[in-house]
Amino acid sequence: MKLKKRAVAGTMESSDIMVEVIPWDRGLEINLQSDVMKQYGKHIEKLVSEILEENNINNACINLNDKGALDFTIAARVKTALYRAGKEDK
Amino acid sequence: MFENYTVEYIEKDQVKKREKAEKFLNKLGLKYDEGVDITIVLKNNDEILGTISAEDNLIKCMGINQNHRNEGILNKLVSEIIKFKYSQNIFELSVITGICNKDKLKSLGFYEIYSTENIVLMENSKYKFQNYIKKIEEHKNKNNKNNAAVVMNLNPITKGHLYLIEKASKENDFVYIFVVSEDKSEIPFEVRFELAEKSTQHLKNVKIIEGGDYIISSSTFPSYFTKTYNDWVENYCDLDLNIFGKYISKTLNIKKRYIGSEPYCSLTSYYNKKIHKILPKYNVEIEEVERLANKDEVISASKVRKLAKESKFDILKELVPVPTYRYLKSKRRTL
Repeated sequence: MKLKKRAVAGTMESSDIMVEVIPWDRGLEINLQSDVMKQYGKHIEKLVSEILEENNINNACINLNDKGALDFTIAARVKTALYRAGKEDK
Repeated sequence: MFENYTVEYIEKDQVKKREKAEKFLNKLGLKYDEGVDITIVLKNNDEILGTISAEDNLIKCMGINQNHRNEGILNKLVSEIIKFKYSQNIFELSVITGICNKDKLKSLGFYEIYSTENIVLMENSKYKFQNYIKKIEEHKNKNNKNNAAVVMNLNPITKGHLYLIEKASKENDFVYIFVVSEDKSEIPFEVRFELAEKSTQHLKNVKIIEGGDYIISSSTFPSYFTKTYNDWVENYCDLDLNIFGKYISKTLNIKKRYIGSEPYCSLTSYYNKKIHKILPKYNVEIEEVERLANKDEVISASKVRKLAKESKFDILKELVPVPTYRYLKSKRRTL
């Protein structure tokens, strides 16, 4: 998948996660901020990395602001943000 | 959380709805800023739970209903405004707010750029400020030791400005001229910048630089959370000058900042007073230069603009460098 523009998905409301995808040429960078960093920080990073790998994304800055989202919420938000970032501007 | 909550997007022309948001803010002791281009209101039935606004990339006028604190309303509002601004291709947001809101905004993805005693400037981009400093560093003149700086709006550049720049050029190895970027002046930034470059061509040790978002940018005026005119001005000066001292002058090894004495504008003269207090802490010396006068009258850009409007080009010619004169006289205002 090729990223074409910056995109966001999700919110910072409780039990949600806000995901920002910024295409760039400096490799992969994941910036995670989470209310449950200590308990689930590593787990969330791994989950997001796997989704990026599945979509062959090697160059992007991914900003995540997590407010205690469950795994399937995280996956949905990340995939949506990637999908939006891959769409052409009309 | 709420059964019937709705999100309302209020644009500039929706006067009645804006008035409601304004009333809500006033009740909280906050002011509504007329300059904002979008106001987002979160409602539960008819009750306003909170509101947030923005002018370009600057978040303003945040207020939360006091009966609904700690219910995550700000989280919702900030998420909404980020998405709204994204749809306008504005990706990086800034906010100036009371220091008491710092931790809350940190949890919403904002990074602290600088805090004064009362207020903090924050941005939701990790790299914007870093990139700005990097960009400024590209202009760095590595060979020289005695570097000076001048910050000017140059709306447009006059012989008064030129006199100050020439003086600084004579007295220092190198001079950086920061042109205020904010496009709220009568003459657009690109024109102000180019006229400055053309008018200083003869000075080999002068470099014209774009001031950007962190030098006297009116988009960083803290007109919310700070409640009186005095607080507002003082906090703004503190923020601006400390960022200049701590980051900008350090990056470019600036030892001296030149300012023109200010006989007319009380805001600028207050800013000048603060410069004398703050910048020496960062080992930046201040040189206040008396304004150049023409026939007993001090030259000012506002006077020049007035003369141009009245088509008094004979008088105007005496007061400005040739490129400025040509620009003002050209019918379509072309360079």
